[in-house]
Amino acid sequence: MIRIIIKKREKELPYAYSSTIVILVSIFLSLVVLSFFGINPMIALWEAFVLPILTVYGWANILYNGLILLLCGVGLVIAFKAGVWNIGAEGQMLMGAIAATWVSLYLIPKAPSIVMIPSMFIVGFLFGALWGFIAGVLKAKLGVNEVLTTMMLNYIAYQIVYYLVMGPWANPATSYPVSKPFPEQAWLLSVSRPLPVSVPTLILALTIAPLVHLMLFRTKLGYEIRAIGSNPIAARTYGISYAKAVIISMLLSGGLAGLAGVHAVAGSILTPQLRRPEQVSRGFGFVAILVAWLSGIKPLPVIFTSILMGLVFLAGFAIQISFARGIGSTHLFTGVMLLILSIMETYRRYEISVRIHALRRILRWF
Amino acid sequence: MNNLAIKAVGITKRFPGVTANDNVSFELRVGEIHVLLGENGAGKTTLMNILAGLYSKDSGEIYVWGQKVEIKSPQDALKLGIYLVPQTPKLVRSMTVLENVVIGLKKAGIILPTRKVRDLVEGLTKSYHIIVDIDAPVYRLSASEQKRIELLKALIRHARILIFDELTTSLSPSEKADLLKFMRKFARSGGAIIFVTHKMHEVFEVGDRVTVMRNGRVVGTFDVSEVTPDKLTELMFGKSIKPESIPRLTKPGDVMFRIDNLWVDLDGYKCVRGVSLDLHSGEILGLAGVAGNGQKELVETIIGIRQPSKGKIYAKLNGKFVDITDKPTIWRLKSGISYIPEDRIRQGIIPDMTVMENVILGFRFSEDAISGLLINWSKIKAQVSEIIKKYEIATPSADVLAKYLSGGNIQKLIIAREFESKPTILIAFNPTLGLDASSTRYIWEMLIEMRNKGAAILLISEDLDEILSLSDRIAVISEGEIRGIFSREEARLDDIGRLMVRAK
Repeated sequence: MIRIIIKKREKELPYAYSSTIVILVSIFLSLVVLSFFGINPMIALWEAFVLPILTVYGWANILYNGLILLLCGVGLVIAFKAGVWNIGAEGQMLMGAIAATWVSLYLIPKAPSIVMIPSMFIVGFLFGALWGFIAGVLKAKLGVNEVLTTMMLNYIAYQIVYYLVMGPWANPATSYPVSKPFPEQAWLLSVSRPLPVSVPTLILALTIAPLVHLMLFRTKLGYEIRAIGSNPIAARTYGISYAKAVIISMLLSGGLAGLAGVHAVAGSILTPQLRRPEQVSRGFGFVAILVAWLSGIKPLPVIFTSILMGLVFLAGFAIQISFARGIGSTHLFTGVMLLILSIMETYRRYEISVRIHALRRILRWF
Repeated sequence: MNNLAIKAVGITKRFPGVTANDNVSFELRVGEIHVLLGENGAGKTTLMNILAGLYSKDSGEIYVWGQKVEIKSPQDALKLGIYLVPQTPKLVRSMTVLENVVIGLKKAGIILPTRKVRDLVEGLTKSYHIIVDIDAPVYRLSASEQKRIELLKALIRHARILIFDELTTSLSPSEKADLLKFMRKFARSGGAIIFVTHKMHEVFEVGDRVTVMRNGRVVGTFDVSEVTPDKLTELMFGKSIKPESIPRLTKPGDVMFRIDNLWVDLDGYKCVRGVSLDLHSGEILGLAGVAGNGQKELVETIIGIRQPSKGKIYAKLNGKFVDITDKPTIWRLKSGISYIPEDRIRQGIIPDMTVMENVILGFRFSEDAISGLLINWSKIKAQVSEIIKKYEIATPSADVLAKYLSGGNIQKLIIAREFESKPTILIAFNPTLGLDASSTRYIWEMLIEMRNKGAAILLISEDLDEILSLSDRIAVISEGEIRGIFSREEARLDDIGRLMVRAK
């Protein structure tokens, strides 16, 4: 007989410990799955995880991915701390990308980098914040479930981008659904030369993570957000506004995803231009949920988990290219990781032991 | 060994920094009601959680019905017939009473709840006088009604050893009497009951034998007929405490707080029906009533988290008499109204935040450290450390999460926060519910001191002893209406009791 005994831990396992296990186990399991498809796991490990960190081009990709995840992830931390399950970083990112395109191609196409780049980020933040705000207001004022609204807003953002690249903003020089290329003073990588990474985004992201940490743990607003997220009943009993905490956290969360969207297009390793939505957001908005969760919902550890997930995301692409497989290999890594993370979330809080009585009886015979 | 339902030998359980049970031995005979007496933090609840499979012991042996057993989970305990009636009911709030009772029950069938099970539960409510609407969703019920559901859960699972963890703390006198009757019947028909309490009089009301615990150790087991309250008190506290009479009042002053014809609706049901009350400075107005008669809604309206359908609330704040009916909660708190909520864990604290973070809830404590752009935690920490000492809150430090504190210390934390804001008006809702004798006494003295300094205190309590010991005037609420107001001199227990339970 098999007995599974689940018991609440008196002290939860620390995130540093559980997240390390999640990452190692999920990479291992992903490689096992790949071996079923005739891919040598050792070669895959080399191609996907070792080679990228040995080359400049690899790092350019890791950091490009990582910075998107860092900005989105820190934003999600704010929403999650408020107890708001923002699933809409994907759409909020796309709004940021739209903002960057609008600013660089139509609003101030002749402006120098020093004006252009800050303007793109500011307008990108506002567009993303607007997308978060819609879901925030609906939740705070009407009690509409934010998981549904943020998810649906993703699809709306997708369609807006499609409309723009195929309609009013379509590049007349090509039949591909893309906008015109951004003017060169809006290219984040060209202002960062010779470094292979977007310096403006890097500075922005590395400033924002500590600022969000300060905001959450050292300001009244952060305290209110955490209190509402942790025990809304007590928080409201002692005068903390639920609507304020929910709306502000969604504003900031959406805004930071908007910044990520600006970086996703203007900081692209390919030509900076608005493309089909799945080529812009590429599921980063969902991977960012993993990033936020692996960090234990804390802004500073997101710096590490986002860069790490940037590598994992790249690993999927490496497999696609090296072994000529489909997009499935990227989904494999993130999917397995999400699965292991969910299991680990329970294991962190509960002790789970499995006892097989028959087996023990058999063992006793020996 | 045959007449022993439970025999526990040498149980030891350590938590970080505390030895909750230190070599504890305990015997429960078949057919007896065994009272486990001790202050909060004496180790009673830990021992019971070990017997119920919620905690694992570090060492020691347990025999149940004469067999040596390892109780690894609540399921193990239930198989042995042990059912722990928890201190705070563990229920699914969105489900009905009936659904809660049959959750996890094998015979309940696949489609819940079947006619048969329904009849069974209804039969149980009738035969044990458990008055509760089994189709009501749990979130609508008061704390004491919720506790009754736990009783039903035990009964339908054929428990033979019942552990009551402070169950009677919020039952009315008649409900309590019914419960005691039930417990006798249960014990005499081959069961056994462990009754955990810190209330001396309950030992003599229900107990056959009593075991006293102090600081994680058993300090003695006696037949109730062979022991005196003085002896037990001495064992509980380690020294003899003589009950002191509480100093009587100064003259009441001006009206500080006025509720004028207040009506409150909850989902179309009129919970509060035309309540009018005046509260003077330097007085404690006791509001007596059985749980679930509109007290909760009244209090929530006073504090501003619920809106009245009709009526006004006025308060004298900073020397001016103002209409506060539409003011936000934070404004009321900052202007000098303090609130001690009934449900301390759900409403009073944020369990996943630290002690220090909980002390600043409401932003009245250490305002200079909060007023800048950044919260000055090191300053707050120093001040909170003082508070911890002053209010005797047992916690390793100000950085510990509030959920790791015991119930009594959580209440002390709330009291500290609310008293430190120097309120002119204090709303105290069951402030000593479930607390041990010394904590209760401490909180009573704090309330009296606050009143003597001129605060106006509204004390809403289900504990008539508390109302009668502290109040200068006593109002009785029933079905959302004030049924009578007495001065302390003319208040008589039986009059008040009758008004509390009489239907109109």
